[in-house]
Amino acid sequence: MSAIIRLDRVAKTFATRSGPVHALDDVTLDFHDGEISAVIGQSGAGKSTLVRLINGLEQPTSGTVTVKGTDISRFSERQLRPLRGDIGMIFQQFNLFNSRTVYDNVGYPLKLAGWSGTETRARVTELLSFVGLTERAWTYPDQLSGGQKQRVGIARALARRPSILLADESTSALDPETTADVLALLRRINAELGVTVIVITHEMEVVRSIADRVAVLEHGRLIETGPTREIFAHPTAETTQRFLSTIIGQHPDAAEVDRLHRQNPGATLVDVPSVDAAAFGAALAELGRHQKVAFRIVHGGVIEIRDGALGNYTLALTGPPEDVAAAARRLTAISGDAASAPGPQSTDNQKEA
Amino acid sequence: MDWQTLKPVYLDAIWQTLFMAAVTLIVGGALGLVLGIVLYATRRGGLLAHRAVNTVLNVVVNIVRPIPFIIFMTAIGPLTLKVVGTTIGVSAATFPLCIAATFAMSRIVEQNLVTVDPGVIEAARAMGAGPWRILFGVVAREALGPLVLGYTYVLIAIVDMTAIAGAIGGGGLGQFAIQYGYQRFNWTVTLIAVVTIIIIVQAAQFAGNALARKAMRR
Repeated sequence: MSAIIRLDRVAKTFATRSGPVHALDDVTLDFHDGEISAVIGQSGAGKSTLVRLINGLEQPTSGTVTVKGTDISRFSERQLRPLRGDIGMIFQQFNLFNSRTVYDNVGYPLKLAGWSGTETRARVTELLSFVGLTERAWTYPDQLSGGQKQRVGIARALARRPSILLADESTSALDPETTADVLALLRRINAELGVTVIVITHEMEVVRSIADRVAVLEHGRLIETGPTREIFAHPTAETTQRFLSTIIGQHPDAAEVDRLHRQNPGATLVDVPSVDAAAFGAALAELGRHQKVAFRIVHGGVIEIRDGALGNYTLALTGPPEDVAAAARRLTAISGDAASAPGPQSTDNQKEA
Repeated sequence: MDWQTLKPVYLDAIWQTLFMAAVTLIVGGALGLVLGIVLYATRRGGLLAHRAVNTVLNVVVNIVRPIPFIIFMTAIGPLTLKVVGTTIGVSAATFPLCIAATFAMSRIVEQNLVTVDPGVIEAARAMGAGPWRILFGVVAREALGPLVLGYTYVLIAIVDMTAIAGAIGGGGLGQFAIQYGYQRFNWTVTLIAVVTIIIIVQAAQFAGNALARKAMRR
């Protein structure tokens, strides 16, 4: 996997009435060819600015932006224009031309590129069928639902067969069901057309659902980046952990631990974070054979990510202390955190009880 | 004066008014569109942002626009004389009408273009469209409905201005009302002229609304 887009020590400062605003600060980041990458951050984190550097809608104040080997960071609008045909973009508010039909919206980039009527007709027909809107070709955007509008936006962005698709909060204005449809469409575009997709979002659910790789931005700084599985298993930055807690009950917090202790008097609580589902199943089977220790799963769950599933569990163990301790050691050993986390995270409740 | 004598004068006056209004709408409308687009495009952060051009044009528009038309028409009399060769008659009135309409229209065009969603412009830029294509193919097109209504508004203002021009030697229904109605204490003639102007204005508004509805598809 080679880098199709490379941001090198990029900074972007906007001059505003109330002084300079540092939208991006020393960001170095690669996007890999053929992957779906996500950039996540809260509003104002600089993610929209970041994505606009890639097609030159914004220029960095310092640093370089390299797209397919070309440094575009100092390009003029005129120089950028031909390159933009290879980079499609979709938007949170869809940004369709309300004065044009669905057909003409999708055909507009082809008109810009000087395609003939016959070529355009074939391509637009193909695209509308790809996004499932063949029936709506002659309607106007204001007659479409949000999900349909975004599909028109996607068809329009793909018209010139770009190798890169930028999605700026493309599902933020949609309901959960429509969001899932649009994300599935982005996955198809990546898988079937081999388009490199870069998704900007503030929702971890979007990252979980489609991203191979994720970068976390905070206050214009890149605070964490890596394959989605790794970031989900071992989030190091607090912001990342907070984002993750929005989609999974990661580890029980202090109040929850108290409650679990009250509900399971005399039990030892064992945290098994970031565990592979198969390894966890095997460990439970073994625990079952080893009849001295009784166990209950009291907290946690499974999250599915693009390349598999990841579990986080908390178990309540009861039995002879030495057997419980041995079981706790075995369980924490299979945890994905075993290598990095400091020792078993068990809470011995028996002394307190 | 009996109606038999007045009738041809009246019909002539209607045609003169329609002629002045039509020429002014076309010429002033076209120049106003260009000026309005330039005002819009050269704004700060605009597609062709240019501070000096924008400032100069704004000052010029702001100087010309507030001048009452009756004063403006007399004030540019020397220029009219140079260009048209006379300051009396329909052609002589049409010249200042076109200039006044250009400035009035430019502001209305600018105001309507500003309301176009910047996101749509960004989308066009992201597709590789140049500023001129965006201005005419996207911005002006997206604002077409409100622009048609703006033109209707200006057309009615033009009809009003032709009547003023008529009072100082411009011809048309204004002159008819002043010369044959007001100056001869013939209130019936004045009333006829007024009703005719109202009908013209109503027809213009009706046509404008219908066109705008079509442009906005609602």
